[in-house]
Amino acid sequence: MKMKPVVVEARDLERTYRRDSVSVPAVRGVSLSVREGDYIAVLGLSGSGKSTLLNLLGGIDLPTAGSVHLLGQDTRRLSDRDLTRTRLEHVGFVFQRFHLLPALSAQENVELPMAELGAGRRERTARARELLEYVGLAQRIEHRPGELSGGEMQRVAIARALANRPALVLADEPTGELDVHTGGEIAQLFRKLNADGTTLVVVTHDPALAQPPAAVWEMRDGTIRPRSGE
Amino acid sequence: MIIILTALVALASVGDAQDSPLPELLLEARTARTLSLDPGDTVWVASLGSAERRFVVAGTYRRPADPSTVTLRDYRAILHIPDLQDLLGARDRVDRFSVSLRPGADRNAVMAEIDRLAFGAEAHASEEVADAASETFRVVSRFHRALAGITISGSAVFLLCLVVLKIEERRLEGAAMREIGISRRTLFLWTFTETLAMAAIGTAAGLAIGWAGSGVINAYFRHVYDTTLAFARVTPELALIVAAIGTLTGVVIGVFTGWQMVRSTPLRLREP
Repeated sequence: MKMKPVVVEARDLERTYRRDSVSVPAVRGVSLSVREGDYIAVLGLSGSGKSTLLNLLGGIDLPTAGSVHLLGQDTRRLSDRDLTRTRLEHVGFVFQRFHLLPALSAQENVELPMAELGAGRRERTARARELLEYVGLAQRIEHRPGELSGGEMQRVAIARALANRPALVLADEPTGELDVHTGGEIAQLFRKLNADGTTLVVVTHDPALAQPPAAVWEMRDGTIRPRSGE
Repeated sequence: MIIILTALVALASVGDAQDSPLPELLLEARTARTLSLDPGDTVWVASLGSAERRFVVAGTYRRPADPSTVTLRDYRAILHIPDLQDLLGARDRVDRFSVSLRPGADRNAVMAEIDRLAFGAEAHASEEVADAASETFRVVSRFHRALAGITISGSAVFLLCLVVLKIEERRLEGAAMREIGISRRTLFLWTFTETLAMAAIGTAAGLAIGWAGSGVINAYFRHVYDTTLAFARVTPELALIVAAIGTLTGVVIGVFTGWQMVRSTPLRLREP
């Protein structure tokens, strides 16, 4: 069987922060490949390095040592502008606190990355409506974030992450601000996304996001390994 | 020829005009109102230490809108010069009189003629008199400008604080925007435009409040002093200056805040 192409690959990844002349290693020797169509859930306690790993995989942060190849490009060799453009075109982000622009409607929030990419208004509107329908918010497209529940805001954020048809979606504790029931619905939506071909890396405490078909990895003290039985 | 008599006459109402023709005078409207006099009424007018004379009120006039006399509560009347001289009991006791010229008349020639005819008299153009009498108001005006400068500086600092607070609130939002791929340029333009819009709205609101406020102030003090004077004005020139200062402030603060938003990495923006 032919292997699917690698979307992002980390090799011997190290990330150390310096605070008051003290070195704090956040990620240590992590190697990981994410292929097209994968759904990887990274579990770990707070401070284990999950979010740092996600930032490194998405080109938000750069490694102290080792490398991240995002769609074949070494993130350390890209300028800030190129990294930003790469994220815009190829990576979708879902945040714990949604980070929608409060002045914009759900539809406008979803249109935002497309507008930045230069898509025409008609195309943007059609795509945004299609995505909001996909995440179950067809009736709420004109609502502003302040008029939406947490679960609805996260659905908008997911639709926004999908706007430019990314090769990879990275989610940082996407159910962290939601109650168990709503978190379960979002987890269900992630499974649906993956079933429809979206490549996902999710860092989470939430076991609901680590259900099959997710391949579960565990992080501890900056290191990563597949969960037993994976 | 008529002349304004100030502080020399005492007026007293005596009722309606009688049959024999009496000399006429004009009463300043506020004086007429205070003394409950109407055109056609007869008044006794007395100069200090002199005989009284009766006059008939021929009409009323509004006191000229002069800031230097607006607060005076004196009684005012306009008499014909011969009547005034009779009342004073002495000729050539007129201190000042005004001469209105027809449009196009040679003012300098008239002034020279008055100087020639009336020995000891000094003729001055009204601008000169107004200029000399306006020094106090010039000082007040400078004082107002200084206050305006302080107010504008304070407003600019207020706007800066407001925007800095807003940036603090929106750092995470800015970080998230950068992370999803929104460029520094776009983020800068957003922040800049937003700040400029805030400055523009603030300027417009300030002008509107100033305009409305001046209306209220004028209405109140015109009522209090019974005058047509404008106590506060928002002139087009002033509005332009305010708009220019507002725009300049918005641009400077917009650049500052826009730069604050994009100069750091997204991760640095996220840090508390």
